Amino acid sequence: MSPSLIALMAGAACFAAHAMLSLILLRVPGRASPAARHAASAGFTHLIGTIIAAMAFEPLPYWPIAAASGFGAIVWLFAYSAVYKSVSLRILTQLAHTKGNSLSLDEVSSQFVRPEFTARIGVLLAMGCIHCDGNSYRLTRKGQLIARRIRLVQRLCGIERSGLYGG
Amino acid sequence: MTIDFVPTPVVADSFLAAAVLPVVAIVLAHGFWKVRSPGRRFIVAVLASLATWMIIVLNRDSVDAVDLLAGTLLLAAAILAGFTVWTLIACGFTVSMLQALARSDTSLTQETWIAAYTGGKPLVALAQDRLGVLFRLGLARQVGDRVVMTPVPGRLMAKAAAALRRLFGLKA
Repeated sequence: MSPSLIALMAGAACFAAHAMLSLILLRVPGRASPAARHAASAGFTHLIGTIIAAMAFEPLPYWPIAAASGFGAIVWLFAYSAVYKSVSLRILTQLAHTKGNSLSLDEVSSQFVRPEFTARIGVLLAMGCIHCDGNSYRLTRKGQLIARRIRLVQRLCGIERSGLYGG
Repeated sequence: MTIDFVPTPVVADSFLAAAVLPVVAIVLAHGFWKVRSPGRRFIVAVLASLATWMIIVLNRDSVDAVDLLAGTLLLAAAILAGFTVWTLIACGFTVSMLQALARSDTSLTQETWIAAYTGGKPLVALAQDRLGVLFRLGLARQVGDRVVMTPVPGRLMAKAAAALRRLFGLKA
């Protein structure tokens, strides 16, 4: 077996370990965000896996390990993000449980989109980006700064005001 | 313990091709060659990145199969990461809410905030927009004012999503 193939398999093993560790970390109560838990798990398993593989086989090419474990970690995070945050997938899951597998547009709006909007307001409040005054909201100084930075990146990428998939 | 951090030529090609992706996406965002739709622009950037990689790799004298696989995985990871960042800044829900509030000079109620987000359209327009993803992928279809899940692809995807939610320890 070539050193590159050994390294690639070591990377796959790192990913397998990351998948298992992240499933545990995601269930541990605490304030750390899911993304931080994914990152901690991926970083830790990659580091340990690389060290173990390098002690067993040398000289060990690094990039096949990084390729296999990095690709796996990104696909894993992608799958998690899709089911964690996607409004569309949540609607689809609900459709599967309703009679006739259908919902009216008004039901979708009131049961999914409005609650999601409210939930994201909660996220922005928790992040200290917005301030609630009675039933109205305005940006805090931190929120203004973050919004300005995002706008700069959007301008660089030629993204005009949107937020809608349909533009 | 010896670790070789020097990338092989194919791996280096993947880094180069991955770097092409954001550069093309940014270049195509300005000037007379601008691709107006952000989604289409990203696809063009991905194609440019893949074309760059294939042209360079195909012109190499000999390519090791494992190296080729490692290079492919690295490039695929870069494209997926780029897609995640791109969708976040182009149509991320929370990011867009923040931007809608930033564009407004005054404080907003939830209703006026929704209107600012959608450009004056009602909440149902936002629902239709999010549902558009399901419609385009054939997972659901609109029948009159109702949304109906498609029997095969829709059901399979719903089952997969529910299984993944359970796996990740998320509430059903």
